[in-house]
Amino acid sequence: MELFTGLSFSVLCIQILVGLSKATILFIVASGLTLILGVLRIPNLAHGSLYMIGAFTTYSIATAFSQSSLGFWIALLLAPLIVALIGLIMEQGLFRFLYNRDHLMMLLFTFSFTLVFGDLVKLLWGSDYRSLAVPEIFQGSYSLLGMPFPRYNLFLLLLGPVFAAGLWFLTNRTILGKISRAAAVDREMVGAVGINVNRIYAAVFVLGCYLAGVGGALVAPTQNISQGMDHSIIIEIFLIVIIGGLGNVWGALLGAVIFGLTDAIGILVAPQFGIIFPYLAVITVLIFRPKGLLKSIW
Amino acid sequence: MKSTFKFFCLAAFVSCCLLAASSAFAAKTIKVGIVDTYSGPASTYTNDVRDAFALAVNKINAAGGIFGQQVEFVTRDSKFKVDLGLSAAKELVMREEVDILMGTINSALALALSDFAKQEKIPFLATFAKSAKITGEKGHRYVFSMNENTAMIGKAAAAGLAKLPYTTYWIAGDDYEYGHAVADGVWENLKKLKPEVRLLGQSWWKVGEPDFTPYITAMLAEEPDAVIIATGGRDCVPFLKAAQTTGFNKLVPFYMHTATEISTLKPLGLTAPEGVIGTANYHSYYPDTEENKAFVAEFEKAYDRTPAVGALYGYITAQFISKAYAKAGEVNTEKFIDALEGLSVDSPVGTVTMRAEDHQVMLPMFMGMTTKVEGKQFLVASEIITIPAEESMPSLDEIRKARQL
Amino acid sequence: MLEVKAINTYYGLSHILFDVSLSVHTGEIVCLLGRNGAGKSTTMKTIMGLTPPKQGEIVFKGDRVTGLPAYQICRRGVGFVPDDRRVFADLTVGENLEISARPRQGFDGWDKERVYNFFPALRALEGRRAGVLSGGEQQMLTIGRALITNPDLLLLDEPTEGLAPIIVEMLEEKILELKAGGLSVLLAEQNQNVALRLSDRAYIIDNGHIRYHGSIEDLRRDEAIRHKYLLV
Repeated sequence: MELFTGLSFSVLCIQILVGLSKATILFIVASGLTLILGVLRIPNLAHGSLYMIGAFTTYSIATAFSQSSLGFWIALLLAPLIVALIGLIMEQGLFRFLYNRDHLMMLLFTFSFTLVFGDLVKLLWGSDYRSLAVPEIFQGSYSLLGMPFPRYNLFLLLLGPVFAAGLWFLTNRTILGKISRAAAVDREMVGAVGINVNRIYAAVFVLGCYLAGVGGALVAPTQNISQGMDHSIIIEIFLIVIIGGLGNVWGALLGAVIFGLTDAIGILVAPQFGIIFPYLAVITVLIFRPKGLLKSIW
Repeated sequence: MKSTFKFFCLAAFVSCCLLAASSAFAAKTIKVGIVDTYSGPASTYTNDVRDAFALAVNKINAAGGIFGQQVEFVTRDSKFKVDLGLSAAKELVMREEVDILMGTINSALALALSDFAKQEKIPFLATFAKSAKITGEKGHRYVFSMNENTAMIGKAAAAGLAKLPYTTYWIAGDDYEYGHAVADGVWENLKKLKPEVRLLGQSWWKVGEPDFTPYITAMLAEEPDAVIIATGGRDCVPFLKAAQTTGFNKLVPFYMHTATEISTLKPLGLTAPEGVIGTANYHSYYPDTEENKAFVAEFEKAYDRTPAVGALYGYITAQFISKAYAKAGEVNTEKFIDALEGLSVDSPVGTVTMRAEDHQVMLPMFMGMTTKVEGKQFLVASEIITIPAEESMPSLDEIRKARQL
Repeated sequence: MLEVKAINTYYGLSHILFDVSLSVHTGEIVCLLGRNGAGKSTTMKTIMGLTPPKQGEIVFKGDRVTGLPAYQICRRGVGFVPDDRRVFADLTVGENLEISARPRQGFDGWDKERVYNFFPALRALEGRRAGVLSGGEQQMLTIGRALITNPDLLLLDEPTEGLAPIIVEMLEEKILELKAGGLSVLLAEQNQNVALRLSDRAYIIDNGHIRYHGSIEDLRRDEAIRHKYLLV
C-alpha cells in the first residue's frame, strides 16, 4: 500500500517503531531530569555528563567481560548504580547546602559539574572514543513488514513501557513517590508533618542520576561513546522536559515520543533536513502551549 | 712566567675558536616543525604520520643525513584548535627557527598554516588534511600537500564506481564541509564518466549522529542501486556498525571512503560489515611488493602496530624533504621548493611524484570490498583495483580556474 | 508542656516578634489573640521551627528545641495546623494522611481509622484530591493530618477563619473533644468569641508584643483591654 509521495505503509510503520525505540532512551534520561527539576527545583545541567559517565562505565565493565552478553547485563546493572553513587556524593557534598539558593545559582553549580565531569571522563578514559559491540543476543535484525528492524531497537522499544510503568508506580503508589510529590509543591509543610525532607531530596536526586546512568548504559552499544555526548543529550532532554511540562514524568514521556517520532518521520519525509524536525516540533509546541503540554508540577 | 701566561692565552683563544666552530657546526641541522593534533581521537591517525616520519628520518640521519646535516624535528599539539596551532607555528618559526613546517589533520588549521607559511616564506607540507582548497583555490608557492584531498577522492571513487553496474544512487553523509565536499566530488565526476546515473535523493545527518537506523530505513525505502556514504573520521565506524546491525550492507551496495582502511576496520573486529566498497590510499598488505613488506616490517618492529595510511604520508614526506634538499644542495627555501616541484620518490605504494604545477603529490587510490579472511581478527579489502594517480588528479585547468577566484 | 521565653523573630531585617513569652501547660487550651498582622502566625511558625528566632528560647516537654528543624519538632510531639491550611493538593485525602502518619508505639494513638472516626465526613472523601475539597473539608483534613502525627501539643492557627458558622460549631466541639482526650492546644485566633468559648487562658499579642496575659474569666470581664487590642 502506498501513501503520499510514494511512501509505503510498511516503511512508515518501521520508521515509527524506530523513532519510538529512540524515544525510550530519551524518556529514561529526561524522566530523571524532570524528577530532579520537579522535586528539588534544580535544573541539573550535569545530567548529560552523568549519562556520559554511565555510557563509559558500561563500556569498561562490558569490556572487562570481553564485551559478551553477560558483560553487558552486568554493566547494565552496575553502571547506573555507580552513577547513582556519584549523584549521592554530589548531593550530600554540595547541593544539600544550597537548596535555598535561587535557580540561577543552581544552574551555575550544576554547570560547573559538567566541566568537572567532562575532565574526569577525559582523565579516566582518555579522549578517544569507544565502541561497544551490541550484545550477541541482540545482534542482527528482525524482518518486520519486509524491512529490517534491529533486535536491539526492539529491546529498547519494549523497555520503554516497562520504565514508564515503573516510574508511574514509584511516583503514585509508593510512599517516597507521594512524599516527593508533596515536597515538590510545599517542602515546608512536609517538614512540619515530621518528614526529613533532605532525605527525600537525596533519594530523588539519586534516583534521577540512576536514570541518567541507565540511559547511558542502554545507549552504549548503539553509538560512539565519546566526549560531547553529554552536550548533545542535555539539549535534547531539556527541550523534552520543557515541552512536556516541568517536573511531569508523563510529560517527559510525551516529549520524548514527540522528539523520537518527528526525528524518524522527518528523516523519511525530508532526509536532507532530517535534523531540524524535532526542533521545529519543539517550537510549535511552545508557540501553542508555552508552559508545556502537560501540567507542570509546580 | 710570561711564557706560561702566553700559552694559556693561546690555549684559551684556540678553545674558544673551537667551541665557536663546533657550536656553529652543531647548529647545522635541518629542522622540521610539526604542528598537529596529538590529543583526542584524531591522534590515532596523526601518531602514524609522526612515527613513520621519525623512522624515516632516523634512517636518513644514520646514513649521514642530508649533505652531512642531521634532520631533527619537533612537534606541537594543536588539540584540533586553529588558534593554538597557529601560535604554535609562530613559536616554531620564531623561536625554534624551523626550516620547514609540517601538519595537520585539521583542514581549517592547515589552511591557516598555509597562509602563515606564505607570509613567512617558509615551506609548509600538509599531511592528512583533506581539503581540496589547500592545493586548489588557496594553493601557492610555499604549500605542498602530501596526501589525497576530497577532489581526488571524488574523482578516484567515481572512476571506480563508473565501472560498476549501478545507475540509481542515493547520497548520505555528515552534514559538514568534508562530507559535502566528498559527496559532490564523487557525484560530479561520476556523472561525467557515466552520464546515465541518476540521483534519487540525499540524506544528511549531524556529525556524531548517534542513531543511523532511521536514516538507513529511509534509504532502503527508496531502493537505490547503490549508496554513497560521505562520513568523516568520527562517523565511519558507527555507521558501519549500524549497517551491520540492520543488514544494510547485504541489502544495498554502498561506498564509503576509508571503509577498507585498517583504522576503520580494526575497531569493528569481526563484526564489521562485508561487501562494503571502500577507497584507501594505503594497505599494509597491498601492493604485495618488497618495498611495502619491508616498510611494514620495520614499522611493526619499531612501534608494535601495523602502519595505517598516516604512516605512508609521514614516510613520503621524509623522503621528499631529504631528496629535495639533496637536490638543492643547501638549506635554501627557494631552491628547496624548486627542487621539490616535479620530484619523484620511492614509497611502499610505488613511485610517487610531486606535481610541479599545484604542489600536490600524486598518489594511487585502491578501491576494494570488505571481506572476512581466515585467520585475521578483522576484515580486509579484497578485489582491489588500483586507480592510478593521473586518473584522480584535478586537471590543471581546474586548478588554474580555482586559483584565479 | 511548652515554654516560649522572650523570642525575637525577624523576616530578613524586619523585626516581627519582640520578646514574646508564653506557656502552655499539659491539658490546657491557651489562646493567642490578636488582630490581623499582630504576629500570631509568626509565633506559631517560630514554635514549629519554620522561622527560627534570632534570640530567645523555646522549651518543649523540658527540652530546649530552639533552632531545631521543623521535622524534629514535629517528631517530638508538636502538630501544626497552619492558617492557610496547606493541604497537599495533588495527593488524595487518604494519601495526605498516609504520608503524615507517625505511629505511636503501644497504646492507641492516632491512625487513619481514628481520624475518620473523628471526622466522619473525611471517610467519604478518601480518594478525592485534596485540592478540590471545600474550605471546611480542607480544615478537617489539615487537623486530621496534624493529629495523625500523634502530637502532644497542637498548634492551631485560625482554624475557623472563613468557614460557615455550622462548621465552626462542629470544629469547636471537636477541639474540646481533643482537650478532653488529653491534648494540649495553643490556639491563635482573631475571633475572640471562639477563643472565649474554648480557652482556659489567653494572651493578647499586638504588633509583635505580648500586651496581656490572664485567665479567660479575667479577659471576659476586662472589656477595655479587649476593645483596645481586638476588634469588638
